[in-house]
Amino acid sequence: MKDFLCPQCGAGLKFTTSFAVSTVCEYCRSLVVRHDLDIELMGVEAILQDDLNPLQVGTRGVFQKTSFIIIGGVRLNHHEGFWNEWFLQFDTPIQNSRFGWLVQAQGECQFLFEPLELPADTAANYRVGSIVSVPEDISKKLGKWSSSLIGDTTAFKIIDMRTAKMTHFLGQLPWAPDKTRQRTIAELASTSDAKLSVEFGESKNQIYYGQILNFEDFKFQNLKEVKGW
Amino acid sequence: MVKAITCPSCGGPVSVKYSEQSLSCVCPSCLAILSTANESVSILLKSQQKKSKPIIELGKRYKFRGHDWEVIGYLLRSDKSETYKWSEYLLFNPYVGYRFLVCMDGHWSYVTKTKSAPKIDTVLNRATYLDKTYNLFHKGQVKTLFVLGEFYWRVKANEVVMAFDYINPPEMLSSEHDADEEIWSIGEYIPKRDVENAFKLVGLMPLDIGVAPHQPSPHNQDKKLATYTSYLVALIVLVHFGFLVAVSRRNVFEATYNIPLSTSPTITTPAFEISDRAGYIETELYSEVNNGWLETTVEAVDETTGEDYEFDQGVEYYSGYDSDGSWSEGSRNSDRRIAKLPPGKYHLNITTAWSYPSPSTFLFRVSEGNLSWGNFFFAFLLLILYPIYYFMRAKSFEKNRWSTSDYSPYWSQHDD
Repeated sequence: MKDFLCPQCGAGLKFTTSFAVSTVCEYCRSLVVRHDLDIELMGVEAILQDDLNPLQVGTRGVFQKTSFIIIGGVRLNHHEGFWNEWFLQFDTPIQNSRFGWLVQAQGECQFLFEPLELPADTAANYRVGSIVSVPEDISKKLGKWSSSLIGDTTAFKIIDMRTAKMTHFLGQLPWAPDKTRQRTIAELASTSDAKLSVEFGESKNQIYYGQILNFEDFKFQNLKEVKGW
Repeated sequence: MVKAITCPSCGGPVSVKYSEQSLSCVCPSCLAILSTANESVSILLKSQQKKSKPIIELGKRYKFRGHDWEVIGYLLRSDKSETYKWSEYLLFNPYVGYRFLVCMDGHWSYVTKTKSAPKIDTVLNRATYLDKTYNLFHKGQVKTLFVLGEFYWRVKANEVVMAFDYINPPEMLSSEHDADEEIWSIGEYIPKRDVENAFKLVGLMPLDIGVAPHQPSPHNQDKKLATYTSYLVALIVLVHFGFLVAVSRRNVFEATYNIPLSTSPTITTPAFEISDRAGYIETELYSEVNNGWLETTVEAVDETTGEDYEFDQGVEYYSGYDSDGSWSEGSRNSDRRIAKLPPGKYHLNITTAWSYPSPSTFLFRVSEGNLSWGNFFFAFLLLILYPIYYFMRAKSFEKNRWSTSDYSPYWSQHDD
C-alpha cells in the first residue's frame, strides 16, 4: 500500500486497505480523501464524545467464526436520536466479501454484510408499513447463510424508516465523507433474527443483510474502557 | 459523560448521567420532560403530576442475570381507562445495552427488544418468533402516565400507543404501535424472589395478585410425574392384554346335574385334564335357588397320585317385596378362584346340601387360564388417579390465567 502523508501535519496516514477512500489523521484529526494518487484535505474532524461506547477503531470481533477489525466509523444523527456504523475489515472473506458493517443503535449490535443493489426507487414512495419487494433471486444472492434466515420471502414490511445526516467520522471509510448528505434507511421486518435494511440512494438502492447478536456474542477484544463500568 | 443542564422550565439543575445515549430526561425538581438529544435542551412536556414512587431507586446499580445494570429510568403506565397500572424500570449497561424490568400486579418480567418482528397470524391470533408460537392474550391501548430518569428515546408521556401481548409461559411477546414505528419486545417471567434479592427489595415487594398472563404453571413440575404415570398406566394395560392373549381361558369341565334327593349324596364327575398353562383355575356354580341356598363340598382328586384337594362353594338367593318395593339379596351364581392344581387328570366328588325346597339342578364348571381382572383394575384406577388430578389442577390454573383475557381458549368472550 502506497504511503500517504497528511497534507495538514505531515504525519503518515493510515490507509490499510485499498477499499478505504477516506481516513482521519490520527494526529491532527484532519479528514483526508484519497483520489487515486492524490489526496484531498476535507477539513478537521471534531472529536466524537462517546465515553459510553466500548467500541473503537481497532476493536476486533468475531462473526460466524470470521474475525474482523473495526477500521472506521461514522455517527448518524436524526431528529429523534442517532446510530453508529462501524466499518469492518474481515480477516478472511465471507461470501466473497472482505468488508462489512456493525451498526449500533439503541444498545443493539447489528452485523451487516456489504450491501447488494436493488432496483432504483425513491424513498418518497415508502413509509412505515410499506412493502419492499426484493428480486426473487435475492436469497440466492444473499448466499447460503442468510437465505436460511430469510427463507423464500421476497416482500418485506418496513418497520422503521429514518433520514439522518452523518455528523462524525472516525478512521477509514469506503467513501468520501459528506456531512451534508441525507441518508434514508428503512428497516425491514424479517421473522427470524436476520436483519434487513434498505438504504435509498440517489441512483440506486442497496439492501443490507445480516444478523443482530448480543454484544457478548461478538467476543470483542481491544474495547475502549468505559469509565466506572 | 455527565452533562449538566439547566431546566428550561424551572431553571433548576439537571444532570444527564449518560448524555451520549439518552435522548430525554426528567427534571428532578419540576418533573418536566426534556429533550436532550441536541445541543439545545427543549421541553417535551412542561409538567407532570407525581403519580407514583418507584420502589427501585434510580441511579443505583444491581447485578442481575450476569450483568451489572444501572436503573436509569422509570415509567408508570396504564391501560386507556387508567384503572390498571404497572411500573417499568429502564436498565442500562454500556456493553450490553438496555433492558426493562416490569412489575405488574406484583408479578415481574425481564424484557428485551426482539431481534426481529415476529410473524403474525391474524386468523388464529398467534405470533411466531424464533420458532416459538405465542397466543394473543390482550390487545388494547397503553398510556404512559408518569416518567422519571433518563431514556434512550424521546419519552412521549400522555401519548397512547396500541399494544398487543402474546403469551407462551414463561414468556410474553409484546408489541407497541404508533404512527412511526412498531416495537417488539420479549419478556420473561421472573420469580419474585429473584427480583427481591437482585434489586434489594426485601420488605418493599408489592403483593402479587392473581395469575400473570405469562406466569409459568406451578403444576409444570408435576407434569413429568403425571406423564410418566400415564405411561405406566398404558404399560399396565398393554401387559394385561398381552397376558390375556398369551394365557387364553379354556373350560376344562362343565356339567349340569339333578340335585340328588337322598341324604348326603355324592356326585362323581367324569375325569378332565388340568394343563400347565398360566393363569389360575376358576370354578363356577349355578343353581336356580329361590329364597334358599345350595352348598357344595367339592373334592378334586388327582387320578394318578390319588391326592385330593377339597373346597366349599355355595349359592344363596333371597327376594321379596316390601314397602320400599321389591328387593333381592345374594346370587344364584358363584365363582371361586382356587389355588393352582398340579397338571394332571382329575375328577370331582361333589356333595350337596340345600335349604328346603331344593332347587332341581345345578351347573358346575371348571376353567383354567383365568386372569385376575381385579388386580388389573385396582392398579389401573390407583395409577390413573394422579394424571387425572394433575390434569384437572393444571387446567384449572390455565382457566384462571386466561380469565382476564378476551382471547381465552376456555370460553367464548360473549358467554358472560
